[in-house]
Amino acid sequence: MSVGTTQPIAEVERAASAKTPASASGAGNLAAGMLWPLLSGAIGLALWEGLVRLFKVPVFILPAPSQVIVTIVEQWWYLLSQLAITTFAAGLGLVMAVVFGLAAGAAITASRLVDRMLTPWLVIAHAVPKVVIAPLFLVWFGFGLQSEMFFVVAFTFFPVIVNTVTGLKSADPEQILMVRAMGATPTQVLRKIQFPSALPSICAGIKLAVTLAPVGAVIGEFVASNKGLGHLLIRAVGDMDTPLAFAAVTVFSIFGVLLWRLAEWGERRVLPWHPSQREAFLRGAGT
Amino acid sequence: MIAADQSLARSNGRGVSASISLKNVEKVYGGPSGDLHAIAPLSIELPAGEAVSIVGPSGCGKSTLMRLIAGLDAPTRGEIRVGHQVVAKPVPDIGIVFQRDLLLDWRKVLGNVLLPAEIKGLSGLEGRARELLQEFDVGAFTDSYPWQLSGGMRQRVAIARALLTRPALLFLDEPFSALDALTRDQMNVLLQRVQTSEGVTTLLITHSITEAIFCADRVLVMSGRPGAIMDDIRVPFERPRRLAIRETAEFTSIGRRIREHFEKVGVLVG
Amino acid sequence: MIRRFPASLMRLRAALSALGLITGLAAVAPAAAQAPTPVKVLLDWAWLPYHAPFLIAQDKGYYKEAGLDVTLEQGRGSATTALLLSQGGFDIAHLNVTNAAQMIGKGGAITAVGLYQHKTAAAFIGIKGKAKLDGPQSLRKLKIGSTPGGSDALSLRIFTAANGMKVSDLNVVALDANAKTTALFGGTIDVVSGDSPAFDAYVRATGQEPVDLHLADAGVPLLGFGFAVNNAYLAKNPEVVRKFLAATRRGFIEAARDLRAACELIQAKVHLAGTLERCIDYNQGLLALSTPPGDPGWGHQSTEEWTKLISTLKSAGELPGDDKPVTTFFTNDYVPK
Repeated sequence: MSVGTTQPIAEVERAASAKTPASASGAGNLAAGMLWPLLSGAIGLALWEGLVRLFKVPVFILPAPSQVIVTIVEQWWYLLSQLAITTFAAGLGLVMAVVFGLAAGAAITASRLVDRMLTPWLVIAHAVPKVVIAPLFLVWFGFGLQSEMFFVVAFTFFPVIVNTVTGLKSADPEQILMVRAMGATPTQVLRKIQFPSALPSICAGIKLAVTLAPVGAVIGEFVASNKGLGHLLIRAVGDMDTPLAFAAVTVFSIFGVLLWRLAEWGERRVLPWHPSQREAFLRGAGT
Repeated sequence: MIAADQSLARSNGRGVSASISLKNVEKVYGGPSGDLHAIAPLSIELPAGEAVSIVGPSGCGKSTLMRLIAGLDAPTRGEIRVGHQVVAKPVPDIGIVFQRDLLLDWRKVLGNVLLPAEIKGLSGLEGRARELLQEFDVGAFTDSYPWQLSGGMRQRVAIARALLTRPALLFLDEPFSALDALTRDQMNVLLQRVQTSEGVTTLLITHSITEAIFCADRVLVMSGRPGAIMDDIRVPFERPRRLAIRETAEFTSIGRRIREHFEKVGVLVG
Repeated sequence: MIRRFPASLMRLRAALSALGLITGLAAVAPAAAQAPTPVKVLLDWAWLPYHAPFLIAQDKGYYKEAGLDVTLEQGRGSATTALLLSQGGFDIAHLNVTNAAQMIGKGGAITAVGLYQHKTAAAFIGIKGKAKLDGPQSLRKLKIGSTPGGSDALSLRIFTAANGMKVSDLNVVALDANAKTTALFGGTIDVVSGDSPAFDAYVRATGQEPVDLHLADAGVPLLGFGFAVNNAYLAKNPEVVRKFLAATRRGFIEAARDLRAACELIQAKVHLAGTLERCIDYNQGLLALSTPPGDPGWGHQSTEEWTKLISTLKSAGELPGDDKPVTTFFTNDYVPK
């Protein structure tokens, strides 16, 4: 049984435009998007190579890009195996930080008392320069994974907690009222309204944490581990093996970029409905 | 309280709706500058299945009255009954449509309509959800996200959601105020048709005199501070109604009667 | 008198001899047949050329023969090593004994059980032709790269006190440990305050010649590398400590005998950077400051050198805590005789 009269034209037009993909050249855009950064990178590298050769800069002061690439190729197994160790520690620490961050964020949102008692400690823990406490971790936890993991947590917990709290508090009070009127229990309110509302903010927090976690792992390795990319770096620098140090930094940077991309991909999967993802949603899926 | 399973025991779309009874209901808010009488002692009987509009200016207490009946707030004095049971806590079997559609951005349209079933732990309502969406002319958007719909369509989804569990009462608090005038007219037609087919006791709060008359069997005219019912007008038109009836003499005379009330109390000057 | 034994008796004799041999071996074998004792050893720093002896001892089975299963962990500076040792996280450590002394002074429950480098490696190192180093007073005119809070800061303080100078008389540039080398080669500093074996090797690796002023020759009686043990571990496992030192010494002897092979081994095993030549050079520099490993008195510590160390540290304010008898700091009971 239909309404009988036709829908107002404005409504139909709005609905239609929301369903059709925006005018994008898809693959063309992607190529253009990559072309200029690649070109810029190539020019920069060529300049660097030229300067090093021209001024005969000693390899232990500044290696040429060609030298760094050679080192990466020659030692790719060593670099990747150490990267794997760092990644493992970063990943484990990140999981711990996210679990802890979500729980603490939820507790802080739920209780003013918890907020008042816990937040000062969190702020202090965040404010302390991590490089200062790293040697302490070594003394408390010894060399190895456990020190690294706690270090990663120290680096990453704060963005997760702050973003969780902000997200949970941004839940629409009228939506909460509405589900309460439907008879929702506090747990249902949390699961069905507060947590989904908080998800965009939580994702932002986790994206930040994802980029900070490897940094935390590497710095932790400088001081408190005898394995991993951080350890490799500190030995390379100490031994004046600058090409290896640069190679490690390069590998680490590429890894960081890949991680960021991965985090963004994850975000797209989790938040297809969010304004930030709508263009991609229309371009990609369509309903 | 109307049990959930009872409200589901309907085979033809019509079923158990509840009556509403208010006896000497008063709401007073205590404040630093003295008491605020939101609602003066008010008594009224609304039989089951009836469609009632409450029309009045802002702040006259109509929203407060709706909250009291729904059990979301308690009266200072007096007794409220829904379906012969005293209201002491939030009445579970009400579908509410607010001025904002309050659809959840992260759920598709179908998921939004099914929300009350999830909260109440009821299963097997997916078929009804799809039917309602189809009936309200938004079936094509069942798997879309709310942001892909226009304001009018979103409110239709909200109404479908309110009706999903076949509630005993349907409350609408200025549901169409945020829509443009043409869409609003469309929604009026939709609402009175829905009310007829579902047979649910309906309470519509509105600013619009025309809307109040068109969508109801009975119009309660409220004035504010303290909130009181100035008039209780029966609307004689048959269902289903067409927009054209708004231009009839009978319709305009009811409208005039209401308007004169507002002029008398100074709400309208004209 | 020639006896002639019947064939059967000959066979019985052979059988008995064999039995006796087996029994004899069985009597000797228990030490090797039992599970080796695990020992956790902490080094002073991450892998460096002079750690080769330990790897040789592992590789050639010296530890295994002594019934030990040694795990070597890289350290992060002798001070931290001394601290971790005192906490019991490790059993034995290879470290700079001066740092061990400071830890003991603070109340750390460790003891120095061996010392092979009796002269501190602390030195001022410059590049020949670019810096002139003739005597302590010549330091006044030079830019010196030093790591604040590092071990060379301590030696710098003691050096100036011993030579009638104040640290403020010198032009000291604070540099991170890793930056010192670059600064020296880049010319931002004239000399580096650091360990001579390391920096000599670095300088020679660039084809230049180093010039040194050794602090050991300029009134700084600090001690160098040796071994320390956690006291609780020592009380429970004195034999293990003895065996460890003996087996390690074998590693040192073998390394000194063939430095090239030693460097090849460590480079292959732990991904050591730099050329083979640099590794050999580094090791030779350290050997020059140490007792030759083959010496019967290798590892032996004298009361005299310890007394001098303690009083030097005390007067520099570097030995906290109450006066302890010198015997609390070291013992010679466990070094190979």
